[in-house]
Amino acid sequence: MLKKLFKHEFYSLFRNLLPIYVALGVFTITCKLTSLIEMDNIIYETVSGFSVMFYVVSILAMFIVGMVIIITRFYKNLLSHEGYLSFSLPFTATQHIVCKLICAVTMISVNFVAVLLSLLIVGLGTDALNEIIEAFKMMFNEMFAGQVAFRVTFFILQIVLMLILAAFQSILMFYAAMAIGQQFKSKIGGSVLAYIGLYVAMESIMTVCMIPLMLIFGENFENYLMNGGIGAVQVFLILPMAMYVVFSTVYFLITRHFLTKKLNLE
Amino acid sequence: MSWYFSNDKPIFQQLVDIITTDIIIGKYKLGAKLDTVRDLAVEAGVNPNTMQRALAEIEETGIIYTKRGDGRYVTEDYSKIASIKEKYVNGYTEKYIESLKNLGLNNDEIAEAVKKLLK
Amino acid sequence: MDLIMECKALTKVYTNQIALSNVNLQIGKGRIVGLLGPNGSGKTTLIKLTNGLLTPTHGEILIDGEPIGVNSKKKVAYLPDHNFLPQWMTTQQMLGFFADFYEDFNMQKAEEMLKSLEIDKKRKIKTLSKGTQEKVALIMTMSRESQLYMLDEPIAGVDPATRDYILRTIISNYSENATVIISTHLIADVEKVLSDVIFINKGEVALCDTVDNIRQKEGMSVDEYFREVFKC
Repeated sequence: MLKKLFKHEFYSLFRNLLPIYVALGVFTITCKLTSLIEMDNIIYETVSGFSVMFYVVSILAMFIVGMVIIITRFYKNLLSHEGYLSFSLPFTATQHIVCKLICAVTMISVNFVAVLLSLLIVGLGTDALNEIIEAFKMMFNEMFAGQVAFRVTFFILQIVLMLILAAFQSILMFYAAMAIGQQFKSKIGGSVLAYIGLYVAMESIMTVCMIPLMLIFGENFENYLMNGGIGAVQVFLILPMAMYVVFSTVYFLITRHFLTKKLNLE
Repeated sequence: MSWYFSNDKPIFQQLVDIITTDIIIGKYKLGAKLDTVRDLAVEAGVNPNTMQRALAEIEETGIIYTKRGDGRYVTEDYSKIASIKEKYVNGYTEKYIESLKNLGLNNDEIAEAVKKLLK
Repeated sequence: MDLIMECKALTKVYTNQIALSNVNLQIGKGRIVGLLGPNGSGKTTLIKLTNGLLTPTHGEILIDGEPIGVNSKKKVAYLPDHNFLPQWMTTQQMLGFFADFYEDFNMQKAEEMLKSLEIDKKRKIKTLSKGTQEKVALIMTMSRESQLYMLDEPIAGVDPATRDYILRTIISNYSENATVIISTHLIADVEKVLSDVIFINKGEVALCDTVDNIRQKEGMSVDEYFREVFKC
């Protein structure tokens, strides 16, 4: 049954993104073509200039529209009139939140991969990309040759994990803000206020938490990072990761509390 | 579409009256099969429980009966219907006489009034 | 009596007002129950609590002996007083949605009802008229073979023909194992269809009896009686 919840969630998220995927595909191709063929012609140059512009716009649109879809989907499906239907389905609030969250993070990841692929296609064969690839090759050869190989792979995984955790946290923050905001007369106004409130609270807590760390490490901190190499960076990255986990958990609990105990459907 | 009901009596009693009258006037023929409770309820626009109760009530008078697993039928025995008809006639007449007595009429005057209108 | 729904000392307090106060109810199977009361008396709160959209402050509700949760939601078919249909879906997609999530959804029944009303399944819900949307919502709800149907103000704001259609649908779907609870303030229209009535006033149960009993005892229709009790 939960599978079907995921199925419907994926469909509702992706159905609006489809045109943007198509646009990205089309402009990837036009960009690629115009970069391959050179012509001394004003019209041709204008067209190629525009296709680059549209390409950039479609990449931006993918991320912006993606975020907008994630936010409006949660709001409409759970907090507007549709909420009557969603919450009378045989699922718990936790299942609803987790399903939406996983689908949203998946969508962001898919968008990332799509843009990355598209950039690769456009850049394929150009000098700049060749240089980057060469540099990476060298770096990898060096690193993977010795004992550090394992460590580098681990480092890359850590970065990916960190990005995913960051996505979890920022989406859950939106969810929590909307769950709090729906309490108020103006649900959207309330949500914006709640978001600002959560943001300020999060920043203050982080600042307060940084003070003891600064006191402990003090000036040595910079040295440690510079000289400790990748290992030091890894240790250092644990900090934001832990923070993402903590805040994600708090936001999740807030969202669940408001959806189960204080749901306010008009 | 649905049947008309007055406000002062329970609906099942009004259903009893309506269906019994229909049987007396021959709208449902002798030995005919009645519609199911649900169909009758939809037709009358009433709760199926109420219709069920009304039919059970009518059944007690003997003018309809249940064939197991088949449904309800109007009796083939006209004498049963005749006796119910008489009961209804008496009932209406008694009510009528009662109201005229309340107006202070005696038996002769009541008979006179009825005769006059029947002409 | 076999109970389908039971409320025990049910109380719901909002931030600054008491919506329901110590409500005790027992509703049997195979009944069509009118949940009657003036606006703001707590009818919708009771229905929302039954469907898990709200959590009680005190007390509990049992559906077929079970507390409110995933299992109770499988047994209750709920028609809210708001248009809950996702506007971007087509009626066809809506059918798939209900079939996916409710094991008791009878697709054939739904298709037949839609066909008899000549509703085009391929059209998006938002392009349908308000009345048609309400009918689609009713068809979705009544096509579930549930043990308990909760219809919140199903006949408010619809034209008389639609109202007749709704009431006829309720009667013709009647089953001895299923109970229908209809909340409304338009009593005269539904009275004939009901077996029992529950009067709610200011968050308390003022009366709970069968329609026949009220008519017999009071010598007036439930509608007239209601007006007398809640005279203002």
